[in-house]
Amino acid sequence: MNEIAATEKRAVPWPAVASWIRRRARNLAPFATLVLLVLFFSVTTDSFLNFVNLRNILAQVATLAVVATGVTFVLLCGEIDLSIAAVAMMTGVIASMLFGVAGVPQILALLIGLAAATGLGFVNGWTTTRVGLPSFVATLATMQIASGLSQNFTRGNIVYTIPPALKYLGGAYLGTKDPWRMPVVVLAGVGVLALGHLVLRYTRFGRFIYMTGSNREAARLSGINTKNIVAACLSICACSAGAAGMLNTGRLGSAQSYGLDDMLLDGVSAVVLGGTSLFGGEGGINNTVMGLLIFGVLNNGLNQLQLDIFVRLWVRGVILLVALIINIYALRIRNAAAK
Amino acid sequence: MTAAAARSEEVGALEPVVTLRGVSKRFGGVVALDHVDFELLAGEVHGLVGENGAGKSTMMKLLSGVYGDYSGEMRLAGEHVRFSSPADAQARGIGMVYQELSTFSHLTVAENIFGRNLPMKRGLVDWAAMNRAAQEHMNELGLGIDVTLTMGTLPVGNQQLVEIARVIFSGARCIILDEPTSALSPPETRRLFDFIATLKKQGKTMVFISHFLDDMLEVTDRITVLKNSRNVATLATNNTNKHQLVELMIGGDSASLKPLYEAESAARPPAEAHAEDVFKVQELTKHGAFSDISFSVRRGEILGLFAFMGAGQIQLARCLFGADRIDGGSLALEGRPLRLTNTTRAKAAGIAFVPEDRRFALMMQKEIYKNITVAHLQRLVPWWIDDDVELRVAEEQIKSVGVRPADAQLPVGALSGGNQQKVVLAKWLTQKPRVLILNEPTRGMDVGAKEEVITIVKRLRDEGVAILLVTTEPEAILSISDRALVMRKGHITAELGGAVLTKENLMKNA
Repeated sequence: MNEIAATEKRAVPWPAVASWIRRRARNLAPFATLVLLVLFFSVTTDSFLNFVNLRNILAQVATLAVVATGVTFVLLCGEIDLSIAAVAMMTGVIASMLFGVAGVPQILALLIGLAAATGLGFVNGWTTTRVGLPSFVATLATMQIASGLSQNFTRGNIVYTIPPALKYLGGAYLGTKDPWRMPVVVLAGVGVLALGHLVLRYTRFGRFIYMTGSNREAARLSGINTKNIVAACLSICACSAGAAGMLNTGRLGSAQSYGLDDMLLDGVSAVVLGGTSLFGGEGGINNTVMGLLIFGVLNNGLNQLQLDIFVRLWVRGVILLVALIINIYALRIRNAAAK
Repeated sequence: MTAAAARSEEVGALEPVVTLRGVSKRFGGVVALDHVDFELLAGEVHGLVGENGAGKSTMMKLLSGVYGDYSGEMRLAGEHVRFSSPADAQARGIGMVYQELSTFSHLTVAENIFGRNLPMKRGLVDWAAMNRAAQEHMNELGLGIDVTLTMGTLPVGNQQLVEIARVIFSGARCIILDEPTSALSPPETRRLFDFIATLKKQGKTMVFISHFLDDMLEVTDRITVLKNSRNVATLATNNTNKHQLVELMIGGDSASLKPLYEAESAARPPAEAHAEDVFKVQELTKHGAFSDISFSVRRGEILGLFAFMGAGQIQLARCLFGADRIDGGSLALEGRPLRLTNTTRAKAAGIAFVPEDRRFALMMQKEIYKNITVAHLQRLVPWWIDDDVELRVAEEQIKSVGVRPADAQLPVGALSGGNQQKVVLAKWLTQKPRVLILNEPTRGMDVGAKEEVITIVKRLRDEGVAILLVTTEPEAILSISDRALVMRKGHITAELGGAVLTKENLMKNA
């Protein structure tokens, strides 16, 4: 079998290049999509390709980057978390109300917010791995709980008492003169992505996540405690959703129990667009970065095109669908190469 | 052959339903059936026995239309046929009931019986008519099973009866039963035999494929023995016995294997016989799989565990690694009690596990080195992941077990089966285990790869590892085991060692 495969490979011209491309098809397809989109918007609009706009794109996807990092962990072990948007809103509300209404010091308010988010993630992990509910269903329930709690806390009102630390992280700039100042939120997003990459690529825990997602039974029969791995990923994801929610309140200057629903779809689709598999084991933070950029460029570019607001949404949907189809075909080519 | 011909005359009143004449089937260079003659008479229950790889399943797949490309001829009621597909065979009245039941466990018995051809009324399923017809069919067959029950709620024995009823309902006059008793309890087996008797009275013909010779002798009219892809005998059941069947199945083999095995055991120092117990298993029970299992594995010993498929040995092995929970009993490792609530604990205690199927052992898309280092990653890279360290460790292992091609960066799925198995072993050798549990370590491998795997296992034994070898291949046990246990239907039936460790004794007790 191996001899046959080897001789077939030799028949291809430039075998090294061909196999390099095939092995990286999962990463190359999103990259190609990104390049195409950038080229397209650069040609069709005047306002797309300039430094300030590109920086704006980064600022626009920065909070998404934080939650997408968590989603990457969950997708890598082959699970899903539908509660991220609700948890994000709840965390923003909790931190702001603790600070503003209860008078808790802001550091403590932030930590309690993150703890509450992580706690819900722990519930997701427990019901998924110990009780045996599919994460799709378990996180649907916690989504309701989180969303209900934030409505219960705010009674539908908007909370304006944002801890100053969040205002700084979400809304401040480093530097003063315009083209060269950098939003702090971008640095926060990059920091979280970098942390995620570090964990996934350079720790045993990260390796075990990939192994669990790649073949859970084989991972288990290699002595990996796959239940703990999955539960930890769901907790991490909820924690990152909480952080994203707090950054978002800082960016908006207020916390409320509605208005963030897009985060779920955006977060998951950015990760999947980058080429991380929904079935686990394949992908990573570098893919997520690519997906975030595609997502940011697409949204921003469609704005620059000044498309009718009612047209924009479905056009965006169509483009996302096409990008996903390209990913799948690229993956098939790669898998065929592996056989 | 002449004896078989004589028997055919004896039951000559019966018409042949299916006849094979000089049928051969090859897979590449491997001959699976070699000029086989076979006659299936109307209304008989015809047993088919033989060792693993003797050609039973190939013959069964030929009869049921899975394989159409063979040489020789098949006749159905005297007419020359060549089935193009299982559906084709089914349409001509030959039905197949597989060992792994292929039922829809969430649908009702009636839906299972009707399959795709549900009775319709005004575009909707006519449930009343369907249930009525299905129940009538069941009653005709003497099965008092309520057809409105969900399939999955029935005990396995009843599911099997329904599956047979389904095959008959879709028009089969000749039914091939593959290992029908392997998963059944004694009363369920009894019920199956009664059902087979009823079907026989109704004029159905059956092929009964089984490893269980007692079952075979009880239920069949004639028995065909396959050995090395040939039909070595077709005997009337009431003129034969277990001893003769075993003799026919393995005849000649034991003689040729014995010198090898004896040389092996003679070379081993006798002191091993009272080496200390490393892994002690006491009265282990898992409901529905096995009960009251006690044994111990000694240092530097290979303890064989022989059983046919479905005897509970796979579940037992999984429980010994903490992959499944036990319902009772206790384990001890080097004198200390051991509670295995998960596989991580088992690994930490020094137990290594090779599952029966490599798909449960390897992340096929991942690189070989990652598959090798995964089990003892903590020791190999105590701090940050360092691929260079991993590669070095993996390459050492690859060299030591002889993986080919020796490229640690290749996805493990690109390797051949034998080389994949070496990777599975290598995974557990980065740190020497105290106990190694091997499930079917050589199944489906070519001779060369088998030999290499066996050499690795022997080396580990000589280094003092206590090894439990679970297998359905008697050869694997005879070639390397020091002692062997035999398991049948969830119980240990024999412990064999020294002179009584023979293929015949293994087969007799299983």
